[in-house]
Amino acid sequence: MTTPNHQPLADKVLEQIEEQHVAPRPRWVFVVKNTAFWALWIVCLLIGAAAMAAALFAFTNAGWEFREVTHPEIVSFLLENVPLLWIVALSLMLIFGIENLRHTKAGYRYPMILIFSLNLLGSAVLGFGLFKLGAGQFVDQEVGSRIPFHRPMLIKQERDWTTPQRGLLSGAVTDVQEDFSTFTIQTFDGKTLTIAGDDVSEKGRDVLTRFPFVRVVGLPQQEEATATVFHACFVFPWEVTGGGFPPPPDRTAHTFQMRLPPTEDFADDSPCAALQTVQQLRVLERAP
Amino acid sequence: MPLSELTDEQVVAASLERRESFGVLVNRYQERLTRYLRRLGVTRAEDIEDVLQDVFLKAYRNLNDFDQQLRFSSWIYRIAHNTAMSFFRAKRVRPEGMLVDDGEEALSHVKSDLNIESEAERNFDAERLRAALDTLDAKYRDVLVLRYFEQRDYAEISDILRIPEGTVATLIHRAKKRLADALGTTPKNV
Repeated sequence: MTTPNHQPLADKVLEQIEEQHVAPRPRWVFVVKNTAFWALWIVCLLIGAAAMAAALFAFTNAGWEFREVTHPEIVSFLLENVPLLWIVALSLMLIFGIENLRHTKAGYRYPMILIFSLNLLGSAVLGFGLFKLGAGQFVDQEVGSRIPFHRPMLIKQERDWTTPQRGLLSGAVTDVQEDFSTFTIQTFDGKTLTIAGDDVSEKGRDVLTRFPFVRVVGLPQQEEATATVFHACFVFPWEVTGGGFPPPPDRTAHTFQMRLPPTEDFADDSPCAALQTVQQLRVLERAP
Repeated sequence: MPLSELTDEQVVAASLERRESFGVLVNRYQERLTRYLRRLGVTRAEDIEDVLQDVFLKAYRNLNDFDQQLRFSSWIYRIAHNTAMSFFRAKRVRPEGMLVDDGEEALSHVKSDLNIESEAERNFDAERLRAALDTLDAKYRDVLVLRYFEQRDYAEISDILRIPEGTVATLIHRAKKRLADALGTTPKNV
């Protein structure tokens, strides 16, 4: 077969190859290209796993158990605590990862659902492993704090629990009176507060003596009228799930396995009797 | 052994050693790819020649990228398909395929595979088939051309279009339905 100008196509192609000095690209170029797509896929998988670890950290430390105390409306709780940044980051890494995998030499042969599932599963398994190692906290705090409009979960929790006017306090226990009538805490914003502890239950007192950081639910008091600024009704440990390298020992289990006397209701004249969430907090306090 | 008796894959290896060997592959695929390009919608003889030259130059430049696990024909068809699509994009034209001289054979394949209810409806000609094909989206037309006109199996179509085999099957199934609709035929009740 000849081309329209009657020169065989093969001759014409070979002529062009010679004239334009066309040479086959070296094999390593294609090997590097294919390897680059695999490497980018691995990078996407790892970043996706880090995002998954951060999302798990944010999700588990959102304070679900205190939801009714901190947020009367579940919608506002969800809106404030959904780890949107990490979900978006994970989704983007899934998309980029899938694209990279499909551009590898044989990547197109696998169905999209299989590639998507493998990527999601890979990110989930790796992400869970990183979360258990404490990397979720690192990513959420160290990376998240550098991203505009994102507030790391622990910072959010600390802010929520440094609102005495809403009956929520938290911080490091710095002093406890022997009879638990008062105790002092240093809040996360650096203030030292003296708190009335008469109404704190046995379990709460145990938490005060065993845990370095606590959450306190109670009522604000007028400084002029009392020596204390806050009246504690419930004390819970301030714990971080999936935090630190290595993860801290689980002290909660030990504490709540102790044989403590059953918690009694507040006296009628106690300011704590006015708390709207007493029942929920009692359930939480009695939880194993 | 003379080059003409070697398999495509062996000629690829020979071409990497000696570029003149590549002429054998050009001769082997020139006609097939010309037909394929015309079916894809590259209709003018000058355009076909330009696109074909481009296809073979790209193939030569990327010989080391040829995966020996693939058939060479799938690989060169993929290059031809991609080059034709680039051609349409550059020219900013919507491809309109045309049936070539062996269209009757493809026509009989399409007729037997479309599950058309009545004999009268099955009596459409190549021109009507072309008109119906032109109404389809490119993704449907591409798979039908490869399946019925180029006689490629699902695995080859998968390699040519770089999509999973399952997607090829789905596209062909949908394309057949749309083609039957475009032809105004009634599918058989299965």
